[in-house]
Amino acid sequence: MTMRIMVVEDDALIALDIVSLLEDMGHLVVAEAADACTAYELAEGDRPDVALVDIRLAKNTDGGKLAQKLYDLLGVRSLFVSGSITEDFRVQMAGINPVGFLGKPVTRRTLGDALRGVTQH
Amino acid sequence: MTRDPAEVSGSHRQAARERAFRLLAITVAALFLAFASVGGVFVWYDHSARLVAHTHEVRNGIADVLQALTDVESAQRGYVLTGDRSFVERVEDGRQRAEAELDAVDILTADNPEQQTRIIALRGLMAKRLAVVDETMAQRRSGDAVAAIRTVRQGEGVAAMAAVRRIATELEAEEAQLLAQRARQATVIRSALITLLAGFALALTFLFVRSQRELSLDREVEADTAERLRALLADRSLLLDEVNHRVKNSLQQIASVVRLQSRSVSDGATREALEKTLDRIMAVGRVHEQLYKSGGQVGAFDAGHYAKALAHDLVDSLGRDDVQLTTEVEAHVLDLRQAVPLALILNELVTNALKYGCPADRECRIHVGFGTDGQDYRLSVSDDGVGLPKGFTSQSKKSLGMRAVEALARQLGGRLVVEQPEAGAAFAVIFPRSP
Repeated sequence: MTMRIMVVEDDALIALDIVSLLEDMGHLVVAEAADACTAYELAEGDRPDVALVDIRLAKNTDGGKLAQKLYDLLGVRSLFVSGSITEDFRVQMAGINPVGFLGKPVTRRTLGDALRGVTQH
Repeated sequence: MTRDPAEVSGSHRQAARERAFRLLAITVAALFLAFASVGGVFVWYDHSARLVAHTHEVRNGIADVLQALTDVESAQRGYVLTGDRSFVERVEDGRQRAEAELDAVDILTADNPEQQTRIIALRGLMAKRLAVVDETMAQRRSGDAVAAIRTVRQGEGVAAMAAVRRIATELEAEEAQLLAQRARQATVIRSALITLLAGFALALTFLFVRSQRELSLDREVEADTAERLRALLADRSLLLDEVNHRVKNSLQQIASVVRLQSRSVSDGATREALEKTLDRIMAVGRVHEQLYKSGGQVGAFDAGHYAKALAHDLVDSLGRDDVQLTTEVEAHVLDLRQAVPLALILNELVTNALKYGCPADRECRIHVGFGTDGQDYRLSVSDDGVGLPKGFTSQSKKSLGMRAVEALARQLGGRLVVEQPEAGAAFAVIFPRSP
């Protein structure tokens, strides 16, 4: 199933890699952003099916808050991709029905498995 | 030099605790002393109280002697006047009482030489008085009442009796003085006893209050220490999370660059080399993931669990549904220094088994085992595929993968064993349990 995906990641090469992986899987990357503000503006316009969100973003912005806003205001669910997913964070985000929490480094398989969660929930 | 705040508060705490223990020891010692002194003073008080009672006995004894003698005199007079024989018995009775009482007083005052001298004199005078009584009685018995009255008139008996009374008064005065003295002493001792008890009560109260204060100080310091330790622990957890985050991000950066590179090359061999590199990076990444998994014990590397998970990941990542993977692992926590080499060895052996043992066109089984072997650990990977070329030894094929496995086995202080199964290939790395 092809999905329209937004990638929010502040590291340019990691973003490029993830976009390539997603496109290899047949998904459409509709927006890319490095910080929370840009990401939200883009999401308002493009309305992705799902957002891949790093927790620590550029300009010192917070992926957790972005995901909260995306879900509350636009109904967009997030898949968190980060090197620092704590148990506290999982509990905090439980309310916004996240697609999943994916630890770095990401492989083709872990990313694919995580996205399968979109259709299952 | 800055000191660890936990250490500083720890030493405060130690000092407070030592003070509390010292106070406790002093309190116990004071209690023993108090009991000993109070006991001693009480024995002393009891003794002087007994002396007072003793003096009373002596005084009563003297009074009884006088009373008995007075009774004798009355009975004698009665007899002289009436000649009634019943008076004779009363005289005898009085005489016996007087002598018995005097003997008793004699014994009671045995420790007082002055009183003893007086008692000897008293005894003489009493004998004289009784002799006059006897004489008078004898004259009256023989019917000579006039002679008896004459004897009485001579006044010897009266004089003796007066002397008896005088000496008795002296005895009495001496005892009265002793009584006053002893009663005074008993009062003093009683006051001392009360003062002593009050003093000890005060001292004990003081010590108790002091030790309570020290103990509450100790508790405060303890709470303070716990607070500091919590803060330190929170700081360290934060730092660990930060380092963990950075390591994972860096691994992701490296993996992303390699993956992007492999995607951009058209040459198959080059791409394969880059994919292998990526697998190796991921194997290290997984070790890190397992080491710093949130909620788990940081730094504990369970080799059995890791081997199982990595083997499944590798087989799954190739999308080989036709490969049957079986694992037989024991849970063993390895030293951190052993974790990465072991992970890389496993990565190479499983990748090799998939690539050479199970070519894409045939079904096969791969078995991964990890457990103890005597004093060693043994990691084994085998397949039932096409098998190794005839005469293969680890030296004969110098692929990077096998050279890496040998080098890593040496790093673990162990060795690579190429086994010769009937079908397929089997490798084992045996390395000592302690690095």
